[in-house]
Amino acid sequence: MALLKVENLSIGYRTAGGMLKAVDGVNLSLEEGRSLGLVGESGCGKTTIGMALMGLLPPNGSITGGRIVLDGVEISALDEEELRKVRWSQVAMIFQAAMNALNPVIRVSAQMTEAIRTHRPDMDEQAIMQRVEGLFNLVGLPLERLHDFPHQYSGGMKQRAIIAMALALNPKLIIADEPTTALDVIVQDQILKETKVLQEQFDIGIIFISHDISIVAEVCHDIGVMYAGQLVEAGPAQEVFFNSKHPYTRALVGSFPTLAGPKSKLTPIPGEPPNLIGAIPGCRFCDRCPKDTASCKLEPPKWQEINERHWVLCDHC
Amino acid sequence: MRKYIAKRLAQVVVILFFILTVLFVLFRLAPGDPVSRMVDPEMTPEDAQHLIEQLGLDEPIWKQYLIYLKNFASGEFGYSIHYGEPVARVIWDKLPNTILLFTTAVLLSAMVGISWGKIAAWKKGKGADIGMTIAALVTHTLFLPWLALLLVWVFAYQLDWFPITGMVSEEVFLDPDAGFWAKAVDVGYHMVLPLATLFLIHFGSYLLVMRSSMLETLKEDYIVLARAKGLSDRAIRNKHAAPNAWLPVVTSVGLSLAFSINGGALTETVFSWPGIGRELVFAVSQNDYPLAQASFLLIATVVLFSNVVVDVLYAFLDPRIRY
Amino acid sequence: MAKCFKRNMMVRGLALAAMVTVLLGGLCATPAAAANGMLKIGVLEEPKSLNLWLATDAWSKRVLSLINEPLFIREPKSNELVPWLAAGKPVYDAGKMTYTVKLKKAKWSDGSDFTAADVIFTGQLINKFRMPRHRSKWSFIERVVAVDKHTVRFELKRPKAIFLSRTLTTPIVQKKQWEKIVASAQGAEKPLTVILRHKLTNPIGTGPFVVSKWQKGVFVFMKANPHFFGRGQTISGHKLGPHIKGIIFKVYGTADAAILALRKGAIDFYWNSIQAGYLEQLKDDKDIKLFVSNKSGLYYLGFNLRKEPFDDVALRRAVATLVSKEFIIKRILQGYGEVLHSMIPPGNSFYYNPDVPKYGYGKSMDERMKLAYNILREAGYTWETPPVNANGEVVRGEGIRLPDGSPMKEFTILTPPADYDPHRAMSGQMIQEWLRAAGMPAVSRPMAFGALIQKVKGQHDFDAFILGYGKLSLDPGYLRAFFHSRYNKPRGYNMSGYESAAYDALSNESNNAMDPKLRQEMIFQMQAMLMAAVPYVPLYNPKVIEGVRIDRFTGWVPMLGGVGNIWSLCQIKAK
Repeated sequence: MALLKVENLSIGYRTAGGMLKAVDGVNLSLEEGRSLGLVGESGCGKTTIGMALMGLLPPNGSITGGRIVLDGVEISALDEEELRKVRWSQVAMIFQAAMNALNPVIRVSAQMTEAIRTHRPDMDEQAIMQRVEGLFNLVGLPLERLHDFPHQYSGGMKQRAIIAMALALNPKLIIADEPTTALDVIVQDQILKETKVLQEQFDIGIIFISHDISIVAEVCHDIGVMYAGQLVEAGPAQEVFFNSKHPYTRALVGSFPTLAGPKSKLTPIPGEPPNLIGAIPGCRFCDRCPKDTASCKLEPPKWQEINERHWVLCDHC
Repeated sequence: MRKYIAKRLAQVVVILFFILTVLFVLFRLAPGDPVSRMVDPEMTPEDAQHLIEQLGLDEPIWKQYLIYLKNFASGEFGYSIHYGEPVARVIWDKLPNTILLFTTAVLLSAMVGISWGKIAAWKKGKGADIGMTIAALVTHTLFLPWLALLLVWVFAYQLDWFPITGMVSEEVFLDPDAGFWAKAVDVGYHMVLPLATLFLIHFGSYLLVMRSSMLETLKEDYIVLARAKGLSDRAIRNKHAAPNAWLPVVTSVGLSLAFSINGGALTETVFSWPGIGRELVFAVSQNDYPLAQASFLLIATVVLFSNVVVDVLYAFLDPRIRY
Repeated sequence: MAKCFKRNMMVRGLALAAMVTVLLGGLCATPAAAANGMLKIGVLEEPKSLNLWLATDAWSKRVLSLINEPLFIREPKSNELVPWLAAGKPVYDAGKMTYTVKLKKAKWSDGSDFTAADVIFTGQLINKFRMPRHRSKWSFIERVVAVDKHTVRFELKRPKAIFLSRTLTTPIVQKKQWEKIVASAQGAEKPLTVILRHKLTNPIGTGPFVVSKWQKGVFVFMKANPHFFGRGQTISGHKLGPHIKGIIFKVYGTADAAILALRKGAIDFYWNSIQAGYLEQLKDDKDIKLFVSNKSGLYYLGFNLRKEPFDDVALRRAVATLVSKEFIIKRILQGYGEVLHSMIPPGNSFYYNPDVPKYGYGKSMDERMKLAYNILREAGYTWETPPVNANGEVVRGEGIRLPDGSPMKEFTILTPPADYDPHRAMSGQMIQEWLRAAGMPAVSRPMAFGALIQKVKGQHDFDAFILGYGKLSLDPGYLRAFFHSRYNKPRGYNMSGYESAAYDALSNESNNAMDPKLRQEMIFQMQAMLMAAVPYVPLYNPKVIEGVRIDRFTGWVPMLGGVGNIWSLCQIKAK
């Protein structure tokens, strides 16, 4: 059984202009110990999916269709109190903009322990402290910095502390939302590698959200490319990266420098994603698509199978 | 840190000297005559002049200034012209009453204002928030003497729950058997209406400051992280959001506390509260220079010092701030 | 989490408990009040000082008048001076210019005897230190001698009319209490200052009450003085007590609070004149009795005779004609006041001259305008638009020009601010309108009291002003101080700058006239001179309205100035 199943998930935001369909009919599935990268431009709905998985949609957002099943439990049907128990113990999160994710007025140690204390009320203080120290060792943070305030940490240290925090309750799933964006490239690379090791070591499922397909390709087993609230291409990382089918995926690959790959010229994607308020009859990418045909605008595209695990939402690939 | 405090204190001393001089000049320039109340029609101008000389008010201004500085340096603030007592004595007779009322009022309204502001922000847009925000805005704009008189009229006169103004009742304070607690309860009982008035007027500003500060804080990433961690609403609100939202409120509470020592002449008058605010007005209106100068200087000193204290307190509340 | 919750509950619980205690405590404390023989008097300010020599404010005087007693005081019905600490009328020896006064065998509140030495000491103290407010009453005393333990003889340097009414009404202090202070002051650089700054918490007196406890800013508790000389005695037909155990002066910050306290019964008497606006709510209260008394007050419009335009007597007379005192009393004082025509209020019937010019009195506004117009026209004033047209109709005058043809410059009428005294501020407004109708560029300007006094009295920098005295002495000696040229200097009391050799001579003479009849004649003449020259336009003498609760005490004695007086406090009894 898959660890996580997202079935036909749609999420909308109530806005002054009307209902904004941030996520539209997305299907995802993740096995235990595997990692899935969600890539796309900002506003494509990848972070919204991450938040929905934690049950943390903002007050004006709601799941309008489909369901999320984590380890056999339908998260999308839980009430607030049940959700609270699932958070962090089952699904943890490593944050976008980790720089600000630590509370500046609370010591790092206290921010680590409170998560454990909340979910494991029977654990004594000593055991909690031991656990936190263990986590610090695990992510390679010096123990003497345990009781510092966040501002005394470097960016990399903060990120490690957040990773340690995410591991605190042995969650089955970690959602990593742009975990390394604000870090310099060397630290970023280091942390990504270590994260991968930890994930394999503890057999955790990871959903890795990023706008940088090259990073995702390096770290994750699978990739889902999102565009304007929809998944447009999905498959094994190497496949999707080196054998991209969807024109948007190709454009994404071309717009980022790679760490490992050969030097190539970067090409920006012209145009902007469509407005998600109101109905869109045809393919959502057609305005920016080099292969645009007349039918694309009128008919919604269908999923095409490239191979058993590689699919693309395009009628012309 | 220590160096920083020392530097700030040195600044305070310089500013105080400046204020001292300004006060001196201002009061001498202000129109009015401190002895007009003591002179009667049949007094000859020569005798009036004699009185002026005796009170040292005939010396040239620069000489008066030097004497004033010299006395000040040796901790002497002079004598009140109308009380005939050392200024420090006059102030000391009334200052504790003012501190008692106004400090309690500031703390009470700050405590309630802050905790309600916290809740209002948390429930933004809901009934509780709208209700509290409107209440804060309305009470904040009330005219204090009007509100005071209304409360006295309703609760002291009509309902007879509280005494009609004043600070103590003579029954208790003339009773030789009345102990400390009986007296304390009596004062507390007299304080209810003035406190209620000050509270109603002031809690709104704390509520609104706290609410907006809290709303900013609630947008921060660490709040999302705290929720993701599955913490209870209460823990998120009180442990993660509020301590970050406090900073601007602390400044305003700190300064209110400082200003509370000058009391409010208006509040003290309408509630017959024997505080320093009324003395200050009296001293200014009667040209009692020594009393007025010392009172203003006291206020300036406390305000300046509390500025330093607020800054130092900042460092404790926000670990990012280091001097 | 649970721990935090518990602590929170505890804090709330404690706060609640404190509130309940305060409430209950208060509820239990209230009813026990009253009925213990204490009279409660509401006042607006506490005494500034119990040092008689320093205290100048009305509130200190209320307390001190019950402690430090003079030899003679005024009797309520007749307003005549009657022996108080004195045992009988002073005996005058015209040849030697001495007065001999027998003293009562009174005791000070500490039990020691009141003797001639105390009177002598008080006089010496006043003269030696040139005591403000008292010096002028004693400067003409050569010396005071003790004939025996209870007889004093005053030897005067020159005859002085105010001796009886002012010198003999000076409060006497105890030699025993003050001699040490005087001794220490004599060596000092500023001896008067030492006396004024002496802190006195328990003044020893001969009066009916002594200060027992002073709760700063809240109340002053005065106990009945067991040694009071009048206890059980009948003085001038008044059987004296005091019949109450004590008086509590309670301080209220505002008249509003004091009046609520009176209505609620928290005080028995509000010792202050009540503004007419409060009368509506007090009238129907069956427990409250209102006393309306005359007082010896003088409120007036003063001119600066030192400069244009009021250096011209014609203009002053015209202004006096235009000012309707009747209107001011009816509309601004709401009827509680009497019209003043002279610088002496009519209530002071012995010295009041009823036969002085009464500019425009009883006339309508139009008639007044015509009268004023004639006065000014005859004096050579001209207008762009005269206030009375060719048909003899009153119109709005404009552009008055002085006799020399130059336009009259704008002038200011300074008044105290409305929050200090609404009557005077409003009167200023009214007068401004009347003068403008006659084409005069008048501006009424309220000014902080201290600044006003300094401008008028200190710098003589003003055009016109409205001031007044709430408690004018019944002795007319002030006429000399107000208008004698000797006092026409900065800080002197001659604020208008009126100078007349004839008036100076007459006032000097009246000051020294020991024969009352003769002095009366001279004072009459002086009033006539003043009202002809009108340096001041006397306006009104307000009435005193006082509120007294009648459910607990009876026996209030009305007199000039109101029921708040020592006779009342010596005679009231619990019901």
